[in-house]
Amino acid sequence: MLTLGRSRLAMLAPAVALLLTLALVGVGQADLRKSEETKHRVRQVLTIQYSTKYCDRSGERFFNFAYKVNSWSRRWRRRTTGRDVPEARFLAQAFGVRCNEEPFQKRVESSLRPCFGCDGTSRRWTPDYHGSPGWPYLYSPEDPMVYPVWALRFKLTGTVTRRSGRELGEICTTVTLYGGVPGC
Amino acid sequence: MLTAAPLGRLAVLCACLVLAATTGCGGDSDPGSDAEASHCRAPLPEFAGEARRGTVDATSGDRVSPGVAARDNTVTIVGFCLPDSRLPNPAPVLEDGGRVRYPIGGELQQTSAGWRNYYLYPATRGRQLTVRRGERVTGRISFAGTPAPAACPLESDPPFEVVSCGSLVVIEWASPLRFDARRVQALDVDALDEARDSRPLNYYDLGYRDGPGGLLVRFGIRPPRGDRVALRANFAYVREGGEVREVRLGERTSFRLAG
Repeated sequence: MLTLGRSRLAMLAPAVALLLTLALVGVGQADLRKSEETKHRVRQVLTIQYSTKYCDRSGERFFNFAYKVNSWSRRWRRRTTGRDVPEARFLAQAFGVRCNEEPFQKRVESSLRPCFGCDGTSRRWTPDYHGSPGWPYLYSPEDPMVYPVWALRFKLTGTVTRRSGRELGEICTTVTLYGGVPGC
Repeated sequence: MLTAAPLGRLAVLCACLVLAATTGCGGDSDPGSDAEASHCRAPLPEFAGEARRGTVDATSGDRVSPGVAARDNTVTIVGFCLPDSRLPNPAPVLEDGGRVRYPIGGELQQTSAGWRNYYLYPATRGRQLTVRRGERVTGRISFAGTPAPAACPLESDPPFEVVSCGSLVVIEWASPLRFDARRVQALDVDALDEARDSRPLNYYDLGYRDGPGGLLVRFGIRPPRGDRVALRANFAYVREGGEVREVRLGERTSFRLAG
């Protein structure tokens, strides 16, 4: 086995220290990314399905791209069966313009109790909870001064607990089809 | 005393850790990075069914980058990586020979690797498609062949006619709606699966023509689980002298869609 002298060790030490520092920073970043998508070992999945159409007056040009939200689905995945989400809240907000240029505003709030292992799903997943808003095609106005608040956004929050019932904190997922990104 | 072998192993371990962390640690990549934009990885969505996969070449560093494409004789599906959940404005279009295809709908998904949006476009024929967003070409899609018309196991009854089957079921409805097809800007319709608690089948508008008894409406829906589809026509938006008039329809009907 090769034995290092004191001088060679002194040369290697800064390089090793640098590598260690880089590794620690890198791992920290990777953990941060993971924590953004999975908190308290529970992940929420929010999927939005929509149809699209151009709401143009002339019929010759293509502008005012409009969305009609057909449905949303929400489900939860837990990494360990020691976690639970006893209650979750869902908020869907529509501030937009209909195809006849009339403003449209709706806000839908609901709460639900995610059930892991129900309806034939594995114990780590809940079923897909579906909903449909019945909203019309909506687009965002060209001039934000005319309609200062416009968005099509969805927010899903849930409280994660341990099996003992001890609360670990909230998880939050947002989906913004158009408009500003809301904070959780 | 320190020896070279353990130090060497430590250095290799450190290098591996750095590499793992900077490359996303097992698939967890930063959805907003330029690397993500130029190497968008998106699996085919479940609803793509038996659609044939194409080869996608993302040609620019646009942050809205195509990652997967598939098509059959009813629809062309292109999956894009997005930097966040906001849908791109302008929306990407497909150039199919001389024709421009605009999205008819889509599905936004949050995945472990970031945000994915699957746009649905009407069926395309060309082997080479260009993906354009605004003035910028953001990708090219190649398919091995033209989608062959598949035998359609589904049928319906007048005034509904099944046009084609695939990832979507394309239907033509000889509706009683008395509008001039050239003046119809949009029809707001819901298609619902009667067998699944009236779950939406995502009505996709494919255009209108004038028919002998009213408007001929062509649309696509996701294949229903049951054999009956309910149709709820809510509004028509009709152009009238530079204005658009909203007409409340209240038309309710249902039709058989079975093999």
